[in-house]
Amino acid sequence: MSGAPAIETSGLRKTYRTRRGRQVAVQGLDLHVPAGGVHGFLGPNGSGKTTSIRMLLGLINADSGTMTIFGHPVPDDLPAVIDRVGAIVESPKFFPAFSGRTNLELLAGAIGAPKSRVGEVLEATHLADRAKDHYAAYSLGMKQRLAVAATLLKDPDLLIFDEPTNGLDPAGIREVRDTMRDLGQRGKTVLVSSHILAEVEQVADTVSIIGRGHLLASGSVSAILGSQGTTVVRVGVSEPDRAATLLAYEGWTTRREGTHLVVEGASDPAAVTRALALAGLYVHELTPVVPDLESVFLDLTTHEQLGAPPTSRASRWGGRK
Amino acid sequence: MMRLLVVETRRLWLRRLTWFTLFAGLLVIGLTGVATWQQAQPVSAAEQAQSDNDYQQALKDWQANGEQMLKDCLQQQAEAQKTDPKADFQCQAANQAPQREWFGRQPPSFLEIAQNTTRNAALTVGFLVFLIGASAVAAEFTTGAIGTWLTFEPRRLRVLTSKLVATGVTGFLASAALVALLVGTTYAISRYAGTVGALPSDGLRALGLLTLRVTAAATLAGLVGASLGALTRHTGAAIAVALGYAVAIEGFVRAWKPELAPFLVDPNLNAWIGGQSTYSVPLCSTNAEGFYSCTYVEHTLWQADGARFGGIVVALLILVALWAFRQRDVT
Ligand SMILES: Nc1ncnc2c1ncn2[C@@H]1O[C@H](COP(=O)(O)OP(=O)(O)OP(=O)(O)O)[C@@H](O)[C@H]1O
Ligand SMILES: [Mg+2]
Repeated sequence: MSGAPAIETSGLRKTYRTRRGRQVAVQGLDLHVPAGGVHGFLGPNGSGKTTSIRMLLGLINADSGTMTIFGHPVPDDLPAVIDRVGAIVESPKFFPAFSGRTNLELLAGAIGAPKSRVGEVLEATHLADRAKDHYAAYSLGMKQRLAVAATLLKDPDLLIFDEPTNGLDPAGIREVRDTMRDLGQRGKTVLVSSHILAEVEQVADTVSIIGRGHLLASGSVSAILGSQGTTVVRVGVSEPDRAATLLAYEGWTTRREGTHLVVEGASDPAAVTRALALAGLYVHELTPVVPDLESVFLDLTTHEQLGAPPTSRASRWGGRK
Repeated sequence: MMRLLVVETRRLWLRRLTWFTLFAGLLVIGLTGVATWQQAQPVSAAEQAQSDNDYQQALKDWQANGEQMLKDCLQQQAEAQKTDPKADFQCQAANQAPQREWFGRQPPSFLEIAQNTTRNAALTVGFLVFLIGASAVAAEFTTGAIGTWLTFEPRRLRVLTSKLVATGVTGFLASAALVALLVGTTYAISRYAGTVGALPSDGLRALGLLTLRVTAAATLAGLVGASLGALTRHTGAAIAVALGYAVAIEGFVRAWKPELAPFLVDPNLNAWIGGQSTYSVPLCSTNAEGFYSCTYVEHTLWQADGARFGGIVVALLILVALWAFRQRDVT
């Protein structure tokens, strides 16, 4: 089973019954999460991330589609893989009137983990000295930590974190990031959904971006960023206005940014330099604009919301395996 | 499964509400004890003298006028029989010599009080156990902890079954403890008052069986609570469904179609706990002269009927709860 991807879904669909009729939350989602490493699961609010995670964990029923975890078809085969999966869905949920320790002890009892393990994971999440307090008295960050502690009770191969840094302070965010990176380097698979894209960019090896319940782009972070990285350059030139006219004539899209020009669609930056030099315009600065995950994300998802066809975009990033 | 059962039972006993409920049970036992204390008091010398006096008075009265009154009665009866030959004034019975035990209060024996209080406590104990079961399961949905739980044990049937069995075990233990305490307090009070009375073995056996039947009914109430908790996902809703059913539906059906009594909870519960319960169904007709009249035919539900009904209803409810829990989304 070593070659199997950690998560694979195909044609996954879910509609909720609401007062306004049926609401499509996930439509035809094809997700591929390779085993090992950190995989970012990104999408705007309401795009279906939590819904997909719930379906994977058997908490809600899919209308149609198939899902596997480590090659096991789920939810049918979930009992066989659940011990390898730790998950936090949306927000931590425990019994408010029990202490953090009691909550963990009950969960440990359910899976037959030794009691000493509870102490270990409380230590690991820096909750040991508050372990006897009622869960209801925890701060949001402490609740998140307890949820992380719960997932570690099993020593899982796949961790599913739905917005794990929600409510954490900067130190907490870094801790979660380090934990995820560490887990990924130890060969575990982490599926993390987050709105802090800078975070994801730092730790994720691969990402999937979804919008309105289907996949917009997927692949390694470098491929997704790189596919756009070569296309935009920032040019410092002596006569920007003339340069802009010239470049527009040559078929590039340009935009003034102070004394600089931003040229889009420049697959080969040298071509820009050459064209300007031929016209006697000398370039004193040329920097490729490396987009960050956030701008790629916004580019993809705002287009999506405006109703651009998603298929052409997904293929444009070309990173899907 | 055994692991889950242990964890669920542990959780039930860790819950504050379980202990609050038991504490409420203790309060009820305390109040019952006060009433028992009053009933069990031996007859004081003054009361004794008073009732002796009353008896002597009545005896004297009867000796003086009894014969005459019997004669009068028989005469009136004969008079009445002229128009209605079947008239019967029960003259002999109405004019017996007064008996000593008709006068003054006799403190009830321990067995009498215990039978009564146990029977009366059935509803309270049942409701308390219902509450333990309903709130324990419903709280998991209101807090969302059930979602976390299912990421540790996704086999839903096992999950709910373990909760139901744990509720059954806990409900049995809790109600058995409460009933035992009730009977124990009653005995202690009767004993302190010195009015324990006779303790025939068949009386003790009957009392023992009664406590077992009340405990069994309360255990089933706990299972009903847990099932309704899983179905409604809210303690308040589970209570509302149970009370709403008892008050609105049962009350309405009883008034509207008395012949449906064998399919209602209340008469069956009474039959189970009390040995039998009766209900009457009117048979109405309009006779040749156009008079509309009804006669009431009395029917009896027996203990076995009550047991069968309770078993079937609880089993069905559990099946529905299991089925629903298996199908429904947990968000
Ligand atoms: N229990 C529910 N009942 C009805 N509709 C729901 C329910 N849960 C989610 N939805 C709808 O499904 C869609 C997807 O929601 P989901 O929670 O999966 O989004 P998300 O990607 O996790 O968003 P966020 O980033 O805000 O967490 C939304 O339109 C939401 O309104
Ligand atoms: Mg979400």
